[in-house]
Amino acid sequence: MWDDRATRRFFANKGASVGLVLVALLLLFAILGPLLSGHHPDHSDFEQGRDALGQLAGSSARHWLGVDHLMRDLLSRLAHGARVSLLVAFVATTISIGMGAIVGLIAGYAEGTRARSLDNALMRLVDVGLSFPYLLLVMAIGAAVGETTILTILLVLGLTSWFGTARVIRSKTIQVRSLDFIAASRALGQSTPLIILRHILPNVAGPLIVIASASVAQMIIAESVLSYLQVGLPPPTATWGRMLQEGQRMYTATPRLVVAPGVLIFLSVLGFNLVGEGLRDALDPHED
Amino acid sequence: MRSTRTKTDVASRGGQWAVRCLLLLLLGCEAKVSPPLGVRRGDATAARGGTLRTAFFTDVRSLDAATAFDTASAAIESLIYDRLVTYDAHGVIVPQLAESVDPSADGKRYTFTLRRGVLLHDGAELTADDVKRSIERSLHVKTPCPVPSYYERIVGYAAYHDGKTASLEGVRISGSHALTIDLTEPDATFLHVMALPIVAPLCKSAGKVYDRTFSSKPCGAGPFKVDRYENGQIIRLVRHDGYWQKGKPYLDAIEWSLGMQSFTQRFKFERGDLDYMREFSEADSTLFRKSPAWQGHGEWEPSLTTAGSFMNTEMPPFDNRHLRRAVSFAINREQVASVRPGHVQAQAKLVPEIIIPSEPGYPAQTFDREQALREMALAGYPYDPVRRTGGYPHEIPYLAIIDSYSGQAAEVYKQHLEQIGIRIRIQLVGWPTFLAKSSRRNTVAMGFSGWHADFPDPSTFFEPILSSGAIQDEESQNAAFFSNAELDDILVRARRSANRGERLALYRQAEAIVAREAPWATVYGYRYFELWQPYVHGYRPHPVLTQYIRDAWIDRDGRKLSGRARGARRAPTTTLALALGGLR
Repeated sequence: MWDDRATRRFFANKGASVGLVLVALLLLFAILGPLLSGHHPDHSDFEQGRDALGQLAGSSARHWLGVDHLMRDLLSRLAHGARVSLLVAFVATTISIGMGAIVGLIAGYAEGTRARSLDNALMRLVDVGLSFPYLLLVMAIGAAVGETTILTILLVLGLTSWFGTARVIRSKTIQVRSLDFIAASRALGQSTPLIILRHILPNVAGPLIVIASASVAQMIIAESVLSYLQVGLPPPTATWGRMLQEGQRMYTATPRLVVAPGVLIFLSVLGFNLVGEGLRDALDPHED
Repeated sequence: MRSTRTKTDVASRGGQWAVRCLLLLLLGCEAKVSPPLGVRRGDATAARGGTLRTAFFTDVRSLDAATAFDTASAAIESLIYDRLVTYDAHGVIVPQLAESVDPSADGKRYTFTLRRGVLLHDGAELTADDVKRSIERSLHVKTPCPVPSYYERIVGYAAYHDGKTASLEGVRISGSHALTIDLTEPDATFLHVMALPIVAPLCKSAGKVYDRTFSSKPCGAGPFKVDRYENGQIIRLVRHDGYWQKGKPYLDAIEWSLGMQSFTQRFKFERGDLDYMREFSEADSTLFRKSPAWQGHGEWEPSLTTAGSFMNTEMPPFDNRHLRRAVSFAINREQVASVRPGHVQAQAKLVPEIIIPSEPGYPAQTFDREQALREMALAGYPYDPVRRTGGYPHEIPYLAIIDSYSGQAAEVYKQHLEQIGIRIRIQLVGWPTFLAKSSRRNTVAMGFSGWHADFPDPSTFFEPILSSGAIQDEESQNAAFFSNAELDDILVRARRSANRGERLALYRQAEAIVAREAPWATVYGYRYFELWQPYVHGYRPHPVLTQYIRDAWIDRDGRKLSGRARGARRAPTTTLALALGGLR
């Protein structure tokens, strides 16, 4: 799946390299940002948060990027927002990809066999899931659950986004299942779970990785949208979407409150998408 | 023409823009607003004509005087419905449709003599029968009047409101233009409640019982009548030519655009598409207030609100009086106010300054963290702020309203309360959910509390929100479910007293009870900054009535004499003075 040729193809792709750098910088920012700023992201600086005219303090040695509407350090909140975004994106993607892979593998392997009713049932479930407006579904679940925690967000995002993955993995599984080495494994008496885990899963891992990297970008956006619509994590937790929502009231006087989280959302989504495209090209043997 | 730019030029420009963007991000910017369109002519005289255009952030759901009781509706109702009495420019009650009001010596009977020749919007002359019919319509059992209890001291109210009698016994017609209202006991707030739109005289088309269709074709005796009313879109009022005050109103029409975001309102106002606005964001309000070109065209409206946090005295942990007191001592009101300077003002007492001004020794809650820590110890939850140990062991949900300042204030309270060992978890919900949950018994331990005066009397800050009578299992106005016999007794005595000095002394005692028992942590008052174009004359914020623009007039010549050419390029809203200037 991944070999030297794939590595060469990946790094020969300038977009992928740029994406990788963006992702690396983002990770670095999430890890080191809060340490650099030295401020608690939820604590207001009532002493120096405003200038003599009552305007929010801009860039200073104390607050490198200034403060937000509640006089909290903007850099610190951006960095904590990065942590939240990345945590949500990675964990929700893991849930989503895991669910999608399990359902896709089972449905694909069952297709055309005596267990095809299982395939049918799972695919109808996928159809129903795909027919719902994704964001509306997420918001409805969020509203129904009421009290939103990071766990709720992870489950809501993870459990509502695996349908497309399942469909892709199912068709890939059907392809792989019909290959000779699977028939040979079966003839040698290997059990179905073993065949799926040992032989089919590695052969569908390429598409899974590509879907996962694109999914991370989607999850960052989804989490930001939920926060922007105020159905995400409750205040004062710093998230980029919430920062956008809070900043828009101050946009005319202090545009950095909107620009800063907006730019970070843009760059992180761009980064993960570029990496995803690079992976797709690198893992596609037809490109070689 | 062929481009002569080289790759180096393009790269260089790209680099410059990158640096500009970085500087924008790092340094922020200097923002400006455009100067006004039109000029203020000192020699302009009041003249009829013109349409005043303004907007509301919200929709206006109803214009039925009996039921519409929110701020937006009230502003329009004050133009459609004149009342028997109203407030003058100093906030003093004066007759309006009544020519005279004569209270009896015992304060239990009021005789109203109506002006003659007052025409309603349908052209009929106002009579005492219209007044009685309108009062009975509003207080009828089938009318969803939000505050019928304000009128419960009218003789026969209970029987009429319960549907046991066909008419309200205490309201008696004594002539075509005279009526008396009898009360069961003296009530110092009676004339205030008679100044509410609830009991404004309506046309006969309103009927004797509530009919929701009346809201779409309201009819009263105010200076303006409804020309167009589309929910969520627009309300247009036009002059009532038969208005009883000769020569008034000046304006031909007033138009409200409904459901317009404050952000949009600001830009429309700056473009000259709105003549008056009030719902500024904090940032825009600051910009206009700082702009030299806009000086003299705006003013703060008086704050008639008190806001803070209620603590449910029936629910743990706030059934513990010391814990409530700890909260009230822990909140630094000046810091809360500093978050939205100008709009939010620190307020440590329940009754706003404009109703009872503070004086030395006036009872109020104070910020005293040491005392808060002592109260925590007395409550049984000692907290060590150095080691950060102890305190109340559980997180307390705090209910606030989405998209409102209450959420921001809660984020500041959270910081203050953490310093005495209380952790709150903020829950933002929509307005209807907030109302439903906070007014249900044993449901919410702590949350936003806010109250806007229905009329400028201290009683409106106690009886509806902190008296035992205001407690109900559902839809309780008393969200703290605070029941205190001493307070109840003081409030009744204050309401019955006609002596202002005695009333103020009693309300002072009531305020002391609230400060001591802390069912609310009173924290701030909220006010709006109002701004109008220079060619709008005859308007100043009223001390009691919101957006009382009935006497406004437009200097149409001044509107044409533009300070800047209409359609000319606007000053950039955001001038990257540092970023761009440094690169030029």
